[in-house]
Amino acid sequence: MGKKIIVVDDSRIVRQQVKMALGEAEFEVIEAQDGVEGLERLGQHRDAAMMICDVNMPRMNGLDMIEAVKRDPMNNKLPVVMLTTEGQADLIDRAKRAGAKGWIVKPFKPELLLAAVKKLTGAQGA
Amino acid sequence: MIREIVRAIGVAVAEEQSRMRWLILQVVGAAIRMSEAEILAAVKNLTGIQIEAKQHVEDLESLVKRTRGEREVASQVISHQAEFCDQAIGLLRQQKSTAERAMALTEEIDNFVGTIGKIANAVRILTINGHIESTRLGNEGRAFAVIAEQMRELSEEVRTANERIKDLTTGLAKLIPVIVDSSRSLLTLTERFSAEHISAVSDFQTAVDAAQEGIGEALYETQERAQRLAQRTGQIMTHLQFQDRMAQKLRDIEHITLHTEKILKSMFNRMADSPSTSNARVESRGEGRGENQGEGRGESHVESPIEALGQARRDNPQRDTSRLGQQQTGGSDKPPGRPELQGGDVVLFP
Repeated sequence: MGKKIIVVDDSRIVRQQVKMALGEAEFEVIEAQDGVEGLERLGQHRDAAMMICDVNMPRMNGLDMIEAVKRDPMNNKLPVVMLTTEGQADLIDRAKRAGAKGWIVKPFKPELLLAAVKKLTGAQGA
Repeated sequence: MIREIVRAIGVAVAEEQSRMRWLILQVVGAAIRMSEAEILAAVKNLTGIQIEAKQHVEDLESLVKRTRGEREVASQVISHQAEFCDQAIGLLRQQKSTAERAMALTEEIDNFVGTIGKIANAVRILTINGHIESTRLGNEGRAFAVIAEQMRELSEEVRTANERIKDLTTGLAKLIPVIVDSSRSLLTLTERFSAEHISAVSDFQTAVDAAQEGIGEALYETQERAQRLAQRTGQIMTHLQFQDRMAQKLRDIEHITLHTEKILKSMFNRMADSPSTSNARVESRGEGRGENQGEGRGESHVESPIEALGQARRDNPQRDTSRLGQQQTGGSDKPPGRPELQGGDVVLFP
């Protein structure tokens, strides 16, 4: 199996779409439906190569989640990309300050998402 | 009096608005959820079909490769067989020619045997004449009679040997046509086998080529269909994303409507609190529904529309995350010169 990617989004459709986009390149997709579950999945899969997360989610939003992720020194180098309908500059700035490596606005193009993931994980064909 | 009528109308409008809003959201939400589930199932089905089609294409490609390899091997074997047939035909033709030549030689030997037979007869007659002559001479011719007798014996031996050779050549002459006939039949069979074999091989190769062409066309068509299917799946998923976004916007509209309702009530309450209508206060309905259940529940004694909005946000911090940008910037105002990103944009930070 390929590298593990944790996808955190409260929409099953988006998770499914991301899974389809990355599945073609043999990435293993781990799903979580909010920030809290995303942190749990990260704890269970310490070998994850990357996280993709939505901003607006119940219980814990994506920006709070990335701040929590980056508080752990072990996850300092883990690339996190935001995948959201939001496109406001101040939100993007906040994500960047929190340690996000990228920002993708929905609806996304699968090939662009795949290219970004390959680039950030150093996967072949990036 | 007029104030009370206005207030009553306001209350009625707010209540009606609330009822309509709730009804519309219920209907639209149910429709979206239902269609989302159906479309997701269809997409899963399409994805399954795509995977199967991909597997079929791979199988076909593998089959074509294997067939090509087997055809190559078969062609080599057939080529060797054709060479062998040609050699066999050459040898058989040579054998037939040799047998025919042997037949001619036998006929020649037969002629010689005839000549030798005639010589032996002449010697025998000469011997008889010698005997007659020795008898006529009496004692003086006795020695001549001995020589004549020896010549007779010799000619008898020649005749016997000649008869034997004649028997042998006759036997040989009977055998050679049999060999020639066998060679001719074998040659005919080999030539026919070779022709039929070549025809069968040619038919086989034509069939294999046609099959390969057919498989190639099917492969191309399957690949095209799979590509179209993938494009369609992608389009459906994009629609689903838009639908998802729309559902989120609907939830936002629900919040805004609730806030508006509170503001309206607050305004009417303030009007009611004025000296002339102090007993006409409108209470919050406390009818939270769906995922926003609890919002607006209880008494919301809001002083102003702006405060009402702030109060509503505090009441529902969970879903308020949907407007994070507005929370931070205090509204939908954007920083000057910093345009928002649009759908499909990808930004990687350095």
